[in-house]
Amino acid sequence: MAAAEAAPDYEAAEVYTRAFRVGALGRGWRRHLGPPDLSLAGEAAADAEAAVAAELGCAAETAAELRAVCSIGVLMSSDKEEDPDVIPEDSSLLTLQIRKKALEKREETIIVDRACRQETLAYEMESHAIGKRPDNPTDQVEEGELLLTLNIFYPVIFQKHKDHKPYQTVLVLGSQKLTELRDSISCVSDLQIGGEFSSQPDQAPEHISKIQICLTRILDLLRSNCYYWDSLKKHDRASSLLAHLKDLYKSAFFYFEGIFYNDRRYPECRDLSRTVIEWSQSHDRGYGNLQSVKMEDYTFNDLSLKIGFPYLFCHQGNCEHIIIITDIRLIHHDDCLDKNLYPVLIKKHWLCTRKCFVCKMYTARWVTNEDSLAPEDPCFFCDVCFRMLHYDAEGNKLGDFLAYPYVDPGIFN
Amino acid sequence: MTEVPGLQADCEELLGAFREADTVRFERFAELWRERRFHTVFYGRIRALERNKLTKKTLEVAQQYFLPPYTFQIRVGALYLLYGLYNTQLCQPKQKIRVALKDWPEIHKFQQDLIDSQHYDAAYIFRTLRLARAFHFTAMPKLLNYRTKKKFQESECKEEFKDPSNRVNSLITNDVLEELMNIHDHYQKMKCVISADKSQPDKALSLIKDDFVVTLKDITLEHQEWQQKRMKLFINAKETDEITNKKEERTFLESEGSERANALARIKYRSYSAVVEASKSRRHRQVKLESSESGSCYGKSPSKKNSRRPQPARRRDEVQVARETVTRHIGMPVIMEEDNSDEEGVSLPKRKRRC
Repeated sequence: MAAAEAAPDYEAAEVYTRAFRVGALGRGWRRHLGPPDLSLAGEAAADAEAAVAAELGCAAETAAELRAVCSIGVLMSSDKEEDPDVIPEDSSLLTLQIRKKALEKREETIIVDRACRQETLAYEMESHAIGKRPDNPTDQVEEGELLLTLNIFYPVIFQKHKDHKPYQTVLVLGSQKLTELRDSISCVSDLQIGGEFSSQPDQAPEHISKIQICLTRILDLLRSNCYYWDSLKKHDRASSLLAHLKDLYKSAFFYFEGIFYNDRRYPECRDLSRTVIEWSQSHDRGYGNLQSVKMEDYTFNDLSLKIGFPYLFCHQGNCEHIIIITDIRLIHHDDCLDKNLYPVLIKKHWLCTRKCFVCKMYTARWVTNEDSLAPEDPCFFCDVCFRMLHYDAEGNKLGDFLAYPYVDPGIFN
Repeated sequence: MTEVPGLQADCEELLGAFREADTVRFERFAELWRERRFHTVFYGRIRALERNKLTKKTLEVAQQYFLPPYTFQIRVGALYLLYGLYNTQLCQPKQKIRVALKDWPEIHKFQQDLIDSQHYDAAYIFRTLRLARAFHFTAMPKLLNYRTKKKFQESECKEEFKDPSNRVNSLITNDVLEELMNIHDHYQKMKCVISADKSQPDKALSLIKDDFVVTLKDITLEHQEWQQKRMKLFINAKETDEITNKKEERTFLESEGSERANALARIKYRSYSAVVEASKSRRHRQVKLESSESGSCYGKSPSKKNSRRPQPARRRDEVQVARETVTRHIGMPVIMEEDNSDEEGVSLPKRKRRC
């Protein structure tokens, strides 16, 4: 019988832990806890005095007394009319005194005090999956399952994000494969369209609009079902969407604790990590033994990870995202228990979309370089303004420029 | 929001009052809670998103008092506090209390202690929380996002709340002493066996002190007593400070005799621990009093005390200075070595060597 593995603990105090097997954490907790703690059923009903007496080793009368003395009503206000929005005038609590001042100051400076759309979105994202249950009981998450919270950082695009990089927060189950997380990561670089189209603007693959993003996601879902997929591939729109890079360059890898997990599900996928491994092995660079394995063979429970330590996700050859696991815990009755909804996105950074230089209204769809007609390089245009400025009524190219279809990072808002 | 301003002070005030009450009964805690109307700590016009963050932070602050090194009474108070905060929170669904795997054995032991010592109300409350699914069973107590630049607020260690650190006692336990005694006896017997005179070992074989186990036990006891005395002094000093602030003239005249004795004792302490301030030309070699405290919040600059010279005239100053002395400079009792060098002596040459 293997010795009990040590519980995770800090390697760098308050910053990150040492590496440990994720599955071991689940085993560790399940060893300590009994069925009532692990159960995903609702809150246990108030139980009989006999059960209380047995567990605490006291008399039944004592149990009844305990229930009365320790009831939560004892701590609540007897005044039913209290309004939680109103801070009591004569409170002795320092917290409330400070809060009151802050609220008063807010009232002075803010004219209309309500949630802006970013806040509403953030709250919605945080709570939309709470408590969800699957229609099919076989899709329910099991007791004792682990829930990991990951922060996936955007590749740094803007200077202003240098110090506080924007990130998405995703919840995954321990039993899920790495490929499921990989498929759920939506990065704008997947939607980029390669190629210079100044001479033939009409031939650029269809621009991405929000509806099309939705369609892309639906396509991903349907991909798993061969019947629908075959008939869809014949459809024009679908095939033009497929021309986007996500499908052209499917390779990707995760890097955790010295091992590269490469996506090898499709024949087009390549081992992107090979270069790194060869480089590391060519001389004694002090990086130890780096390995390369298949992403689809591993679940999160199989991994060795540090909590709070940055790892890497790389796709499109050079689009890199830092990944940090911020938390691992046992699944709870209040969590989303529908397996199919995982990985769940619970937080997203709001990126302002870049607007057309001319009209300042529509999101930019084209970017030009070395443009004799534009005041700056690079310059961004929406479709209408782009054509109006750069082409005449017959569609002939005016002036010298290079034009590329542009997908704004804020497209996922 | 990184912290809730004022919350730690309120929690410490409530736990402090509970400690004063010198009981672990929930009834008493509930009285104190109701007095302060603590359930209103969540009140105020707060929108849902911020309320979630606030509640999580509140539970986090309360939870830190639930684990060692805090005293048993404080931990029970923290349990009651968590119970109250969890049930009076306004979030729907409720925010949970995070428990890390590494802390669980301690918590389980705590629960067993409660049941064994028949503190039924505390045990019942812990059981209720568990059945209500109030806990998240996690890997680590807080979420970690690789914030290396974040300044850690020096968590105010309320000395009165903490158990005196029992490092010496946990090393030299009764079992260890018994074992040592057995080995020592066995060793003596072996020496006798191989000696010419079977009743006592040869003089040539006497390589250790015969009574070292007893001496070790005495030293351990002495350390424990010293720790308890220090704790008492600290608390007394704090109380004295309050008394000084409240009753101005009266107290001084009353127990003058004992006060003087106390003051003399404190001056003695101070003289053992005071250090001569180096002259300006040797500013970079400012002498430092090496305090043997571990992990205490005494780690403020020692130069502060140098400015507080003795002022025998004004009693209040003296007491206050003494308080500062007591709280900052309780050095370990000096162990006299053969060469009689005073570890915390004033001699500059010694300091120079060490610097």
